[in-house]
Amino acid sequence: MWGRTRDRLAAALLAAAVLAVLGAVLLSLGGSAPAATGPPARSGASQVMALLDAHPAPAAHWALQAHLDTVSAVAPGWLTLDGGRGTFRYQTPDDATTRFAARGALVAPVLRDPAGHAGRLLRDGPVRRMLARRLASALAALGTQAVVLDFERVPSAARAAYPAFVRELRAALGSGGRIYVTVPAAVTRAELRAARGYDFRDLARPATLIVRAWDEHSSATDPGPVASLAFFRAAVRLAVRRAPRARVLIGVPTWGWTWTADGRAARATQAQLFPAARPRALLDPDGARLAGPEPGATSWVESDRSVQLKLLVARNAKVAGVALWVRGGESTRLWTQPLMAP
Amino acid sequence: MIRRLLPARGRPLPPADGPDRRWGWARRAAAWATGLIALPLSVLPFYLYGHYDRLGQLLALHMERTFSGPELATLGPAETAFFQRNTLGYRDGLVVLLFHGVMDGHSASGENPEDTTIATRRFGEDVQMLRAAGFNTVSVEQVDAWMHHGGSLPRNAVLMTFDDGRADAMLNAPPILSELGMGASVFLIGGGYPEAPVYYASPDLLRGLTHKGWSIQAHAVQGHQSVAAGDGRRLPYMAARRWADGQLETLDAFRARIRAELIASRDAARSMSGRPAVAYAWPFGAYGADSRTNDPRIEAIDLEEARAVFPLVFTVDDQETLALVTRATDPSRIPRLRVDPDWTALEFWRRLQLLIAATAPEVSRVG
Repeated sequence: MWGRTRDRLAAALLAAAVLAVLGAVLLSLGGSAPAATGPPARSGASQVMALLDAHPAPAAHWALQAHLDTVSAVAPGWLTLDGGRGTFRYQTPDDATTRFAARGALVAPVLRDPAGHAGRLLRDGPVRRMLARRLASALAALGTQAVVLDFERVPSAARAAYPAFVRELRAALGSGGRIYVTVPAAVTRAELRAARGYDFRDLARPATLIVRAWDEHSSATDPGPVASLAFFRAAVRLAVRRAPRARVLIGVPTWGWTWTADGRAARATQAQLFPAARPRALLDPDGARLAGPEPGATSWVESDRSVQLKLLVARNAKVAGVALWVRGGESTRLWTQPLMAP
Repeated sequence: MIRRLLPARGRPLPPADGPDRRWGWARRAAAWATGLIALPLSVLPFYLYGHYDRLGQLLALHMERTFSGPELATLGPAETAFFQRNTLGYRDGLVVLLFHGVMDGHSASGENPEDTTIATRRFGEDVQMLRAAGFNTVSVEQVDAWMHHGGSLPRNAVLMTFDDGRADAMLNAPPILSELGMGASVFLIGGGYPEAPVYYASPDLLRGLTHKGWSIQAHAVQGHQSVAAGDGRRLPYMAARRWADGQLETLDAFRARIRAELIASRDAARSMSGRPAVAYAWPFGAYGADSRTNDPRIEAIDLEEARAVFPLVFTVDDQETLALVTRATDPSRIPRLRVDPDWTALEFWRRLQLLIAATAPEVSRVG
């Protein structure tokens, strides 16, 4: 009688001990997840990339600081090609970006080519390979293995050389390397002709494409939406037709332009233009059109609604994510809506 | 009360060794104990002065270096192998490094509150890194020959420069560099030593360095100070027209002042080393090219005058976008990399790698 009771007691004690150990393990696991130093929670496979200027305005840093849990990658404009020999100018990491990286954001410096050196450079095999090596070393020195290649004017003659360069860079970066390549939103026949230098399919094998789905209207055109909904839809449709969806990020514009009567144009932020917009204009799916602020001036700006619709198009297209310019002055509503599918 | 303590009138005083003799040993012991305790305490002010006061630290350093050299920090084998394996190589190019002071502060890590003074241990680690990574130090004279007379530089050439000729740097850096077979150049403030003999290196110390392969070049005589520049502002001597008697000096007067200062600086460096001075470094890096000026024409005047006196002129411009020095670099605007005292050896190495990767005409692996 006593022996059976003792056995039961021992079994109960053993079970309690096992449960206590299990509970402690689970608690410790649960407790370690939201550690302050760990990377913030990311939404599934969706990516949200924040593009930054070389010297971002403090407002841009504050916005990112506040909403970094929504952003998976930060792309500061630190690198600029400065000649046909493959050398480039650089910026050293700023404190804010270093903090973002410490909080788990992937830092992917942008290599720009404002002077249009890329075409010549890509076609010169030895210089191109040298650039891949240089870039990999520079990225390592910057503490990252990721880069955004933002060559805006790749001529058709470099169509095969560009993917070759991306492959060479991928090899130089090693297994952890991540390459993003910006590609134009070619919608019209003229734009398609101008975009022949970009082999979307071939580029998307070693890299993720960022579709520059903006500049339907800009300083170089007449006044109009930065990216009308139809333009944006067409850009997304054409991109996913030519590259795997999982390899496509869609660039969503969050700014506006003001064209003055004398034909000049200047970029303006949502914060600058929203107060002057009529409530009804802000409901236009193509963005808000404003008269003024100067006599004869016209402004177009992406509204909360137009941005929301673009994000919906991107979500429905099931692409890998979106890329947003963060310059400061973006609408606060941008950050309170789901930027991509959870 | 007082009356009770005083001896009564007519009564003789007790002899000094009278009734108190039995307590004499206790008094003597107490005196010895007090002395023994007070002796170390008397050293305390000297210790605090030598430890926490800047001038005291310098005096202590002078004394310490009379008897022993600085301790050479060493890198671990893994770090050494990493630098050997991963450093990029360049040819026909140059990186110029700028240091000011080398001295331990009073913090646990030896770091200094000043942003121009690198801790001795960290300096040792930095030069060990340079050595392990395959950088080769060159002299200013070699750079002059390379830029102007078709000379050559070794692979991964680096020129180490020390501005001001400070005593801390000249006492700590040379033994460390000598240990590794490296040399450097000093940009001297002529006349600094007589005014602040503890702060600046003595002429004997500097002359001794020239026998060890160091080079003495020009930095300033009067020029390492600020001048009144109007509107209550004070701006660097070489970068601003001086405000006096209610007006700015004329451009001609400014030019004459600059020319005199450049020549005086050159002569001061030459008299110290006994060799011609071929290089000049702007005091505070200021020559009118940034906002520290009161006339946009000053930059052109400064450069023109400096070119007339020196074959090589060094700046500290564009720290964030610094490029490798090549033969194509303007010899009157040779950029230098200011080595941040807070950088670890790895951070310093990364900064050099970024510079080389981005701007060297040709790159390869050293290892």
